[in-house]
Amino acid sequence: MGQLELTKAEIIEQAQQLGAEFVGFAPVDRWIANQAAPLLVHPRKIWPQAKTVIVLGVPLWLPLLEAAPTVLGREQAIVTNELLTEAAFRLAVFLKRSGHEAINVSQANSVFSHIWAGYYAGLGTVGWNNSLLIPEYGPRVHLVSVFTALELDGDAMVQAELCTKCLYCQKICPVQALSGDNSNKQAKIDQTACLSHEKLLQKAFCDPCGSCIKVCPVGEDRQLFQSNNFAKYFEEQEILAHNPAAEEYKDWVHIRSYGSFALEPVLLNLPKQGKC
Amino acid sequence: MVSVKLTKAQIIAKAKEFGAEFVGFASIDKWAKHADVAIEFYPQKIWSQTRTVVILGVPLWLSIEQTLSLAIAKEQERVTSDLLDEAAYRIALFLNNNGYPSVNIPCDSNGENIADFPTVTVFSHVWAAHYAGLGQNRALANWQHGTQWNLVSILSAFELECDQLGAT
Repeated sequence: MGQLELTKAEIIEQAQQLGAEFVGFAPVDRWIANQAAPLLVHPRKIWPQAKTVIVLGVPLWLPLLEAAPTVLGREQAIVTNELLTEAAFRLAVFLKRSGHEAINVSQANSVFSHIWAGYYAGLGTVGWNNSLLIPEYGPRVHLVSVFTALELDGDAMVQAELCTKCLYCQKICPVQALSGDNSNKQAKIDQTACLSHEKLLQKAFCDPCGSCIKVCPVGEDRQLFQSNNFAKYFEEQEILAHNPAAEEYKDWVHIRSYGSFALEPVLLNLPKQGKC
Repeated sequence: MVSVKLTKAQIIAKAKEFGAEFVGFASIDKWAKHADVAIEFYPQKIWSQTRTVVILGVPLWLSIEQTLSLAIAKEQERVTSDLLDEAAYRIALFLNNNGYPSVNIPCDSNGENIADFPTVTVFSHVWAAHYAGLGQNRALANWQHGTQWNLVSILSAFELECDQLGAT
């Protein structure tokens, strides 16, 4: 197969046509040079021919995340994952068709971090909550990667830390899975606690949890969606416990009331009975 | 994120590019005017920034009643739902990128295997399509009367101008 010369601009155009909103390029050397990410997740450990990692991203809508846990959040995650998976596969085909070896790495994998890839590709910085923060949407972004043997210039990495270390993510976590303080670059995650909670939400059809990303103050989307009342997150449980019909939470309560099992019986492992 | 003035025609063209066959617009006033559904199901109650609901639809060739193969009918529903969900997400993205806050409500938001509430969902795409004029839409004259549609909605802060109100 002959090789066609491809520019970054042509690859970006193709990725955007396939639905990607954010596209970044990371030479694989950055995994060694920076050593911020564990070497275990070096792309060449997965595919030795890799020279460049192309990271694709799409945003998640804050109003749906805020109401979580809901079936709408679950569907949003499914739709964006499917869109990205298909876009990544088709971008790999596009590269192969032009004579450049490429593979797409699925989102659901335990060996490669799209978050660190996004950092090396200049999309944003890794926040205290261990998510990639981007200027437009904070941590509310889904990512996927394409490895290619094509050598391309890397995008400039974001130098200024986007994370403000407010630690709202730690405070809101329903299972206290984030530990450490603001002297740490990133929190230590109790994976067992986080994933166990996620599994319970899956059973109730209202995963993902998303608490640590909905509460993050970083992102221009907070202005777009007019959402800067952080007290609403932290006072929710107390207010709803006293008044389940509280006006300021009616929208979230309504959204939670359809399409998912009641969460409390699932959390308590009791028989499921209808809606929330 | 920029603020660009969009027209209905631009949104329709984009939605068709993403695979929608029907594209309709319903101002939130219609929910209160007709009072067909309970107030908590009004689009502006689900998300307060909503001013207009954009509805996308694709035809279903066979209803479950019309085919002996449940598998084919279900597959048809899955394919059309996937197409619509992606189209709705991309329209919401298009609107957000142009400064109109928008959120897509997926086709199937009634959960899976929840037998107690198989039909009631957070938001009714059917009523939204009705208010957007599906059924009396001249652009759909090629479609046989009674054609069934799979539908999806986008709640948007995009506001219809006076001359754009009414059926599309």
